[in-house]
Amino acid sequence: MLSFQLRKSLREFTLDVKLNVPAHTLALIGHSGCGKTTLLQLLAGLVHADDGFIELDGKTLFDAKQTVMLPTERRNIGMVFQNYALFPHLSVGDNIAYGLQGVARAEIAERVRDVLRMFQLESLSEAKPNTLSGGQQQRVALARALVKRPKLLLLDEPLSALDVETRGHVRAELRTQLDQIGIPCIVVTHDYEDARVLGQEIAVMDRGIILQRGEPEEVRERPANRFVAQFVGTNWVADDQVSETCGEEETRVLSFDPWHAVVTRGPVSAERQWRGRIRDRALYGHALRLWVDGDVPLIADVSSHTLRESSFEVGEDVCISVASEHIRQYVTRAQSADEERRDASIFVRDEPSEKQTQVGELWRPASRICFLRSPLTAAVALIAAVGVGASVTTYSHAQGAGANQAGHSTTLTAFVAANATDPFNAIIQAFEQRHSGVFIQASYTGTQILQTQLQQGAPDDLFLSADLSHIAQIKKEGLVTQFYPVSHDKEVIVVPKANPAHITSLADLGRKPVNLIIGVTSVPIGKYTREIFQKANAVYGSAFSTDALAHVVSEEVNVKQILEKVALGDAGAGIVYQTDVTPTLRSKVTVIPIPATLNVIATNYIAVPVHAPHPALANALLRMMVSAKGQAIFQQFGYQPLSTVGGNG
Amino acid sequence: MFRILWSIVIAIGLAFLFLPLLAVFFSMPIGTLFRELNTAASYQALQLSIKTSVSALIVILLLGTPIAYWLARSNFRGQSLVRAAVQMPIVSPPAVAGVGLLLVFGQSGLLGHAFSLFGISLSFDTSAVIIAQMFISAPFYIHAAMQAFAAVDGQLLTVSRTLGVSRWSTFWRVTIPLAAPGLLSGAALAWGRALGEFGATMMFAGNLPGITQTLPLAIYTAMQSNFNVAVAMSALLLLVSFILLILVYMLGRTTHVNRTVKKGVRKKHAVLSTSQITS
Repeated sequence: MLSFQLRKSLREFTLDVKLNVPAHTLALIGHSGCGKTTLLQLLAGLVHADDGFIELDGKTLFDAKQTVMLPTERRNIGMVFQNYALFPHLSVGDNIAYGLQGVARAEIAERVRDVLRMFQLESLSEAKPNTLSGGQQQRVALARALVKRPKLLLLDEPLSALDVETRGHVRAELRTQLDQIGIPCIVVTHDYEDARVLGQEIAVMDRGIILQRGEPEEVRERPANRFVAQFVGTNWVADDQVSETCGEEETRVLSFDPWHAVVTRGPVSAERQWRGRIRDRALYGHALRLWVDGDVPLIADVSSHTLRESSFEVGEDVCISVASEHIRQYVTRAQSADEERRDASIFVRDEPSEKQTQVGELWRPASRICFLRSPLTAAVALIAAVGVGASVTTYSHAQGAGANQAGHSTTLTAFVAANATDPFNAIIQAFEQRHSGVFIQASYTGTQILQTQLQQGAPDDLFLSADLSHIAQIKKEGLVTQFYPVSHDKEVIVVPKANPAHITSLADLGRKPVNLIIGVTSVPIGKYTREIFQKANAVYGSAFSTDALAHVVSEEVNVKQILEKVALGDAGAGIVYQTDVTPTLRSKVTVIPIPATLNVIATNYIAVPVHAPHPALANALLRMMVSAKGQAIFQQFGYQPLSTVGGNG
Repeated sequence: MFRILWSIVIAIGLAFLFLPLLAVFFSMPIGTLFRELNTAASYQALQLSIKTSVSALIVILLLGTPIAYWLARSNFRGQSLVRAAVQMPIVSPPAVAGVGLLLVFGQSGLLGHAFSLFGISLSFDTSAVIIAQMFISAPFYIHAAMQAFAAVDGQLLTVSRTLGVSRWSTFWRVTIPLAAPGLLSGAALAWGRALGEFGATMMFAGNLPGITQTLPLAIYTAMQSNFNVAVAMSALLLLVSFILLILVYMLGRTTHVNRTVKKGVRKKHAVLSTSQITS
């Protein structure tokens, strides 16, 4: 036994329904959007009602007053959806067994076998849902809902996904099945015929309220109002011919079936007749159904043999009469929608005290789930999770690092401008040989990236900058106290071995058409190149700088990219550091020197940051690099000797 | 005629996509390639790359999956704003991402400063590489996962609940198996992106061999001195990525979604064999 009273404000109206459903099938009919599907969702707990209660077999599923809201998964309600919603990744058998959790394996097998047999699905147990016909899918969906032995079965438009041919057959089959299960069952449909066949009882719904409820025949024969009459396909006329009223709230009405209506072109001598114009017509089986608009809207069936004699067309004026023996006269309460609402708003619970005992174990809406629904809190929670996760990772890593340091080895970190990669690797080797147990890790990148990293507090023992401005900036910020020049380099012109532009000197860069590649102004090589061009103006004419820059096809952020493009022949000439032209590259490019008077000395600077983790060793490394031994290594890689060694800036 | 044109267009397109990568392999004899590769440095870099990218992928899966599910399933004001924001790392230049990470996790950054009080330093550490890779590649996974989750019919989740299965359990038994192909390809994409991540790592994590020097960074460093080594390492990176991507896609194709369900759920969730049902 299901009894409930529910109220829920919808967009256009308020759903307000009170029903008791014994262990039989109730067909709920109404136009789409009348709230019938919402009602099913409210019963299933998929939607939260504003007010009311639901009680199933003496158990409270929902009670707004006591803030009881049992979640869907604990209501034990079977539900069959319009499109059946079978799990596409599971076979028929697995679909049916899906909800049987915490049941012994043997029992699962037995129960699934039973329903497979009941629904004649044995041969399909391994089939995937997408291979089944509509009728088969419907049986699987029903089997899946029933194998759980629910206390209530809800079917949402169970037949509308089927085509017309199978529909009648499946409908009859479904009726038989529903008759067997012996639990309250609500079928939602918009089709009166479905409702008539499936329901032992039907309820007509419109705009959120139940207009009439009763056995299918009773509702059809004695519709409570015009809406119900139209819905079930019968005629309803307020009997204004009967003068006496039976009370203020009651109306005397009469109704008759469309197949008893007689349609004629002219007036007849019948007691009851109405005039009207044919609005629409359609073939219904062996009869032509006419919709006639007049003082009252009526429907009338014209049997096919009458049809041959006189066909009725849309727009024709006709007269509809009915013999008095076919007229049903009755009295109905003139119930306005407002009154219905007033009725329903008096929420009275039957025997509320007994249910208290069950309330304790029920889920309450104000639980922990609610706060996770807010996206903001969820986002905060996620960010916190990121923080915790990251810190755990780092902490464990820090532990590991600490363990390393407990040994006898020390690791120095050096941030080195990428152009000094080769000599610095050689210096590392030399230094590590002399200091056993000391390892140097070098991070080779562009000076500007290294500068940013230092500013962000990177743990670093030695900084080698390719540019005065970057290290000067670092000094200004107090991250280093003193820095020293460590190597001198000079610029050269490189051209491809084939030398397509016939470049032989610096002067040619301004004179001959050539695809020239130089460094971008923000990197040292680009700055130096422009300085060289400016100097050359004095020797090659004041237009040289402008001419040479006009030949530039690309400005690179990296010397290696200039070299690679020249080596590949994509550029006719490039200006790079002499030391960058490694022996491998010498086979691909020709080096053309720039006159010493015009050349600019490129200086690398080194410093030990004030926050260096190993200042003593770092200073030893710095001293070694500027010493004769260190300088010898630099010269080995083509660097110029340091003319003066000493503090700078 | 149309057919021929069609095939030509496809052939040109494919050649455009493949040739630059193939060129890396054929720029030098295979023997030289292997000789150049056979150094401790390149193995170290490869090892680090795999270690960090796999770690990043795991964290991405753990954090990205809930985000993707939330974005796909819920409706709230400003949802498209959040969706767009989640995609931002894809369009931001990696160096910018690196600066952003430094500003947050760097030692004087928003969170980094707080962490440093506990002696935790995230930047210039292997964990920094993982963070940079996560940041750059997570959007690829989240985007794919979001679409995969959104494609799962919400009614299936509803029906699961009416069958008495909790949301959590439904997530594992219905949502994940149905979204699996999308999740897998999202993960593959994110993983590949993490493996190739360069700019943000360089900026945020630095370039220290064995600690933060992943394969792409090692390639960059090798370019400073020996172009051949750089090419050889590039070949290695491409090969490793290719093999792993192929594996992922094969896994995606052969893994029957059904099997994922059975594996994913430890409890006996009533999965029956034919014999049990029909006997």
